[in-house]
Amino acid sequence: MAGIDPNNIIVEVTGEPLDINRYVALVADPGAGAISTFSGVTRNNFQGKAVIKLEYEAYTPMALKKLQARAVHWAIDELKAVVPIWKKEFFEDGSTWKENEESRRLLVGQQAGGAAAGPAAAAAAM
Amino acid sequence: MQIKVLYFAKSREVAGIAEQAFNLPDGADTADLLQHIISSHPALESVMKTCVFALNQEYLRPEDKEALKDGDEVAVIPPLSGG
Repeated sequence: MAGIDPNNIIVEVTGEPLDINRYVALVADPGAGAISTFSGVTRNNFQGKAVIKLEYEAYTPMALKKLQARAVHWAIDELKAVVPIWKKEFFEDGSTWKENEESRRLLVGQQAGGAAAGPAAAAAAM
Repeated sequence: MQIKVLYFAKSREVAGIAEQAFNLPDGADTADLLQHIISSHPALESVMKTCVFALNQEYLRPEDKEALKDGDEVAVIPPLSGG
């Protein structure tokens, strides 16, 4: 199965405006046909009340550590759940196709979204 | 032993400080630390019911009674609101 090298994950927490082009450039690869990005932005209202500003505060060293760990977990969970890769395990007396528990989401339709929200929500909660 | 406590978000506002050193007797655990924190900042008592600790950057609940050692860093973590 494709390995995910934690050294290839970049996690930053900054008070400065983000330059999305910088991050696109970091993952650009001649062999890649698309780069997907996500930008969370601040909205000016919540439950009918105008939002004047948001103040952020972080326990930065722990935030970096958890983000890194979640990024790896999320990627591996997704990989196990939806990426069509299989492996067959051979024993001295036979063989079996391995089956990821996570991929059972594919069998239960709408539940797939709910199950997928677990790690994503945890990452967002940072 | 000396424990460094970090307060964040609401706990920081209510405590009025972001960082505080506590001198605890050897053998003290996280539940003991919680009592010292509340004694030092009585206004934190209700806030602490919604908080967990991060001991050296790993989450745990104060009632887990994790043993502390000199130099440990304990962060008070109110409900998260990132994202």
